[in-house]
Parts: sequence; C-alpha cells; structure tokens
Amino acid sequence: MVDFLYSIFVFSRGEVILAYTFKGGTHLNEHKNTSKCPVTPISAPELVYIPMSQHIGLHCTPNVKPQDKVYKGQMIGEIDKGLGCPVHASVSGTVREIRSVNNAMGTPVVIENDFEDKISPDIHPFEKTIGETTPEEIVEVVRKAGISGMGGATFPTYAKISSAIGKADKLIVNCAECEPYITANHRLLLEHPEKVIGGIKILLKAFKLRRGIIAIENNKMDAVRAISKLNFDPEMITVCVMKTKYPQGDERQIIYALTGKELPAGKLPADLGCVIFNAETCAAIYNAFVTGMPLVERIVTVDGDCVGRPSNLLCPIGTPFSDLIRFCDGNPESVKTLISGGPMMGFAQWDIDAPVVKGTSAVLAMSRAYERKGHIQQSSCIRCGKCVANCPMHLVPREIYRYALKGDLENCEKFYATSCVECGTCSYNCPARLELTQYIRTAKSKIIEEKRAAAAKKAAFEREQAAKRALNEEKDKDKNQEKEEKTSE
Amino acid sequence: MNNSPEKQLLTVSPSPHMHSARTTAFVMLDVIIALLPLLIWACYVFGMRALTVTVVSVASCVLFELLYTLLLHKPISVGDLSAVVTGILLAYNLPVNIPLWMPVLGSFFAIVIVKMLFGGIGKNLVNPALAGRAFLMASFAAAMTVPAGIPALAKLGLFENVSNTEILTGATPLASVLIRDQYAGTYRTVLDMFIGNEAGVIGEVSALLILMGFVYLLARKVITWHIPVAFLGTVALLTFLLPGSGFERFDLVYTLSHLCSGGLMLGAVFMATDYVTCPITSKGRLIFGAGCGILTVIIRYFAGTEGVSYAILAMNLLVYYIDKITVPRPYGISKKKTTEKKLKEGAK
Ligand code: SF4
Ligand code: SF4
Repeated sequence: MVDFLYSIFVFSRGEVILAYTFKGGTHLNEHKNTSKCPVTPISAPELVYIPMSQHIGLHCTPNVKPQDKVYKGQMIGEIDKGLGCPVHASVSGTVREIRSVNNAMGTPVVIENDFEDKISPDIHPFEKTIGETTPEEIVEVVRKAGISGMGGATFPTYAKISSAIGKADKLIVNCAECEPYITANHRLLLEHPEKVIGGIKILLKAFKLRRGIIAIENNKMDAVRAISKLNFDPEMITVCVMKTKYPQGDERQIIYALTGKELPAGKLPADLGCVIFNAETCAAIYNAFVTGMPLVERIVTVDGDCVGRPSNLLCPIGTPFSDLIRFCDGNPESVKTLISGGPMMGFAQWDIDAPVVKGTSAVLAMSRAYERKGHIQQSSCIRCGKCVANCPMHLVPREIYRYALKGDLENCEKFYATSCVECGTCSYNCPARLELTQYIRTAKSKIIEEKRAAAAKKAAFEREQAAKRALNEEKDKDKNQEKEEKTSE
Repeated sequence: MNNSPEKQLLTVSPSPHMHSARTTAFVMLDVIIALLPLLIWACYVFGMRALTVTVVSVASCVLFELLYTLLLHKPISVGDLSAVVTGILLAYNLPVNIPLWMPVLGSFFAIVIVKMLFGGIGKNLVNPALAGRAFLMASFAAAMTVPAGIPALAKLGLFENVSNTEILTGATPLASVLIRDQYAGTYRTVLDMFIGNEAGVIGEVSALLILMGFVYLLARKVITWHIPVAFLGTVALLTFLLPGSGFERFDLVYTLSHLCSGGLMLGAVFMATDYVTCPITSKGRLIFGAGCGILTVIIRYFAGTEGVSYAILAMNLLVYYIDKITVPRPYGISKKKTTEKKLKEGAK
C-alpha cells in the first residue's frame, strides 16, 4: 500500500473523505464549466496543419511531398535517431504544402481533407494478447504510435517507459487536472474509464508491476465512482483521492502527496521509483494496441468568455483553434487572448489559427474584458507573505523577484530560483499584482544558461590545458631525448 | 498558421493568465471592515467624539499621502486604502478627549515621516500608526493618558474607588471577580473587560469585538493565525507561570486580566499583523509574535506602563533579521544541502 501519507479530511458534497495533499499551493477559482459536457467528436476541417515537432526532442523530418496522397494514420514525419515522436496524418487527403515557417513547433505539413476518412492499410490491432507481450514490444508500439505526454509536457512516452523499466515500482496515473477550466481528463474518465484502465494494464505489464494508482482530485468524485463501477481486479488498481488544490497535478506534488517523499532537485521521478502518466496518455496507449491507430486526435476543452457554448471536443490533431471556437458558437474576431492549455501554465498564442497539437488540453478564448480584469494596476510589494505561504516549492518568490528586478542572479540562486516550477501560484495570489512568476522564470533560465556556459567554458579550458600538457610532455620528451643523445655523444 | 501580413495578431503575455480578484485595496478593505465594529462600540462607550477623532485622523492620513504624492509627482497611491487603515489604527490608539490637532500631527508623522519618506507602502520599517502614537506619547504624554473618569463611562457602572487588589480565585465565577486593569488602573470584572466596558483608548477596549475581527480576517485569509496566537500565547504563558510581583503563580484571573487589558488584543490582531512590518514566513511570524509577547510582559512588569506598542515597534526593527534566518527549506533540497550552503556563505 501507499507508504507514508500527507493527508487530511475534506468535505465534498456532503461526503467526508480522506484526501492526500501537499504543503503550499492554493485553491483556485475552478471554472470547470464543462464538467457536464460530453465529449463531442468534430469533423475535421478542410485543411489541417500538422506541426513536425509536437513533443520535447528533435523535430521530425517530413517524409511526404506536396501533392502526395495520404491516409488517416499514415506516418508523415519521422525521426531517425534521437529523442522524438513520429507524426501522423489525422485526415486522409492530399498534402497541400510543407510550410517553411520555422517556429518552436517546426514546419507544419498542410493536408487538404478529402472527407473520405480512408484509413491507412498499415493500421491493424496488435496481434498478441497482453500476457505474451514483452516490454520491448510495448515500447516499440508506443513509439510508433507517436504518443507523447498529453497533459501538456509532451515528453515522448516511449522514452519515459524505456528509461523507467526496471526502476519503477510505483505506477501513478495523473488525473488531478488541477488547472482551472480543463475537464478533458474528467470527461475521459467518466465516459471511457475502461480505456484508461486498459492503458494502465499495458503499462503495468511493461514495468512488470502488480499495482497502479489512479490519482484524482476530489472535485471529480463522479469519475471515482465511474471507475469503481468497472470490473477489474481491485488488487491491481487503487484509486487515490487528492484534495483539490493547485498545483496538485505537478509530478513533484503528486509524489509528495502519495508517497510522502520529496523529489530531490534535478532528479527524475523514476529515481524515486515512481513513474507518472497522464490519463489521456494511457487511453492513447490503449487505442494504439486495440485499434492500431496512432495518436491523431485528442480531447480538447474549449472555454473562455468568447465561447458561447463551452464544450469538450474530440478533435483531429492539426485543427485550427479558430475552427474550434466557431464550432462552440464563439466569434474568433472578438478574441483578444488565446491560451493553449490552462490559464495558469498555458501559453498565449499570437495566431488564432494555431493548430491543436498532441499537448493541447484546452483552448481558452478570452476577450479584452477578461484581460482588464486580470491586469489591474501594480503597486509595490506589501510583504503580505502570500507568495511564500502558497509556493508549492516552498520558495520565497518575493525575494527572488526583488533580486531578479535588479539583475542580481547570484542572490536569485541563493534563494533557489532554479527550483521554481513556474506554476504561477505566486503571481495568481499577489495582491500587489506583481509578475513574480515571469521574473523568476527569466532569472531561472538565465542562471541555467550561465551555468551551462560556465560548464562549457570549463570543459574547453580543461581540454586546452590537457592539450598544452600533452604538448609540454612531448617537448620534454624531445628535450630528454636530445639530452640523451647529447650525453651519448 | 497563416502568416499573411494583414492578419491581426493576438496579444501574448506570460503565464499565469489568471489572477485572484484580491488586490491590495481589497485586502485593506477587509481590514477596515474588521475594524469598524470597534468604532461603533467606542461611540457607544465614549460618545460620538470617538467618531470625530477617527474621521479627523483618517482624513488627515489620506490627505497627507495625497499631498505628498502630488507635490513630489509620484504615482498616486491613496487608492490602495492603506492610508485609511493607518488613520483608523492611529485614532484607535488615542484617548477620546484628545485635542483634535493631535491626530493631525500624529498622521503627519505616521504618513509623511514613517511611511512616505521611506518609499511608500511596503517600504516602511515600523508600523506607521504605532510610530505616530509613540511620537505623540513622547511629545504630549499628559494629553495621551486615558482619564479614568470619563463621564460616559459612569453610566455603564464603572467601579471606581475599589482600593485593594482583590483577586479571588476558586469557586467565585470569573464574571464577578474584580480585577485591576493592568493599564488604566481601574477595577473591573473580567467579563466587563472582555466585553469592553472599561476605560482605555478608542479602539482597544473590547476584546470580544477585536477577537471577532480576528476571526473575520482569518476567514477571509487576510492574515494568518501565527502572530496573534504566538503573541497572546506568550503573554498568557508568561503571566501564568511568572506573574509580576505581588501575585501568585498559576492564577488564571491574573492571566486573563493581562490578556484583556490595555492594547494587547488590538496590538496582537491588528498592529503586529501589519503586512509591511512583520516577517513573511510563517516560522518568522511565530518568532515575531513570541518576541512581541516577551517584550510586552517585560515592559508591563518592569516599567509599569503599557508595553504593547513599544514591543511591536521594537520587533518591527528586527524583522529584517528574522526574515533572513527563516528562509524555508525548498521542496527537494535536503537540509544538509541548505546548511552546507549557509556554512559556505559564512566562510566567504
Ligand atoms: S511559480 Fe515558482 S516561485 Fe511561484 S509559486 Fe510556483 S514554484 Fe513557487
Ligand atoms: S504576494 Fe506579492 S505583495 Fe505579497 S509578499 Fe509576495 S510579492 Fe509581496
């Protein structure tokens, strides 16, 4: 069972439950407007834009040319060597162009939809039963299906599995979904818990483990019930309810809540024997085995004050955000801020036609009114201590901010700026409206950069030294030889 | 994905894209709400002059801050309502019959000298209201003493002329025990003192209403429990275990008389918890509260006067050091590493 627990009693809708939690963090205004909205599949638009880099790692190289016919599920971008996930076509049709714009997501391949939904002939269910599958086969299937972490971090899943094989003794499935607005995982668990559980079974097999933990926040008790209604071996899957608090979904906080251990700075969860997957990633793994279909669609929560009918949509990868907004009775023209992901850690997009990628869990379309509300005039820090009390990493954001303003990186580091996980809790709560997270993030990346540069310099210096030494030794040798020759003369 | 030049680009800003609705002004408004019942009670006990003093003090605080920012072309900051809070707190520390020019002078000292000259909100070293009070106290001690026989109090049944310190314990119900107000020098029952039927400065008399304000501030998450609990707890413990000369040990009534008399409650709940001048970590706040408590008791025992405000002012000056030694251990950094770091820094 779970070893040591940091847990408390919480009240939720008339029930008292023992819930796991962590120290720090804050309860946000949840805005879970879509928790009652069933996942609706939307038909693919006329054009889909499929970026070649939707994951952490190397960019894919497109293996199709303009005018090529492609099937749904066909691989259109691949990685030869190194970390990365292949990319697949989410519709059947013709490759229109391969854009040369090069942004963080790589070149997009534009596919014109022929609306025939022809599925690639290569796609077939995995032949063996789970019992006969080897871990290596599982890794290979997951890699080929192009699955990367679907909670937003987009780390290639096959790499996570293969690096944790042999180390992991605790499999945790993260359904915390602590960001406001997003309900994609919640709906998935309500509607298709069997997919998530199927994915867990496959992962358990890969790690040769007996038990997996589903970690879920207590604002989703209906999902807990939906899972427990399923027929599965209770020895195999434990559901752990966690207190609804941001950022409970952060790996470090889940580990702390469920094991009582802190993940040491700079280590991976696998070093503590934990391996954590997002719920939708599990479902994608299950799909890859049962249908053979790679990751070409995902659930996206569409919400925000510019959207008339907040919904959960099952959309093909590559659908432009503007289509989603239109589908939900919103007017793309009125959008002033467009966020991909949750409001706390998501990224603001400058382009209303940005496409849905593997890591897009939500699309939030906000009007100017929202923006105004969010950015009230700043005052100076009033030392209220809220940022300190709420930081899940137990930092002193105020001090780091002060030093970051001055550009004093040394002191930023003394206050552990590099431990910040950029969760945004400090900025959210600051009554003075200081952009704490932003400054800390900048300071952190500067420190890391400097360290890297320093390390590179040191390495170069050492190499130089070694070369010099070698040269000197040779000279010495020469001299010695000369001497010897002289003496022998 | 369309890069056509005519396309309108959206605003991008760094995450988080969401903020809590509570701004500085919002927080200050909560403090004001928590303080208002005290004013109503003061008007009942001392008469409407309590209101006059408070209004004069608040108005002059706001005006001084406004004038200062206008004259020096600084951004106007009165909107954050912190000057209002300072004004109320200053008035609450004055006796009701004080000449009205004194709160004006006190406000000038509090706002201009203590707060604005140090850089405005967030930068002052000591609590402005308390500094204003201390300034008035030092300059006009006579006017600042609370007269024991305010007429308004007589109607509420002020026990005058009780000469001996009759402190009874045992079977007598608490409510009927007469005790000496540690500050005003009058004799009241504990219940009277708790409710606020006693002499004192405008805002300090009713422990009950102050505690209600405390609960409100806690519920609204404006302050944390650390400072008030540490402060009051330390005073209670010290007076219980080591009472002043002439009193017996383990005397609950004596302890209660300390807790309910003078400015202790007001100081612990509203003055010591002033954001700007208290430590920012919870550990630091506990140390700060305990320090305030110890100093208060020492001043009360050995100087024979009320020590709350001086204790808080003294601890205010130590906040910088308390903050320095109470930096929390971050998640994922072992204790060993943090101490190693400290040692290394020390070696440097
Ligand atoms: S953004 Fe960083 S400093 Fe701010 S609360 Fe999160 S972890 Fe702490
Ligand atoms: S939350 Fe903002 S105002 Fe409060 S201490 Fe932190 S930085 Fe200062």
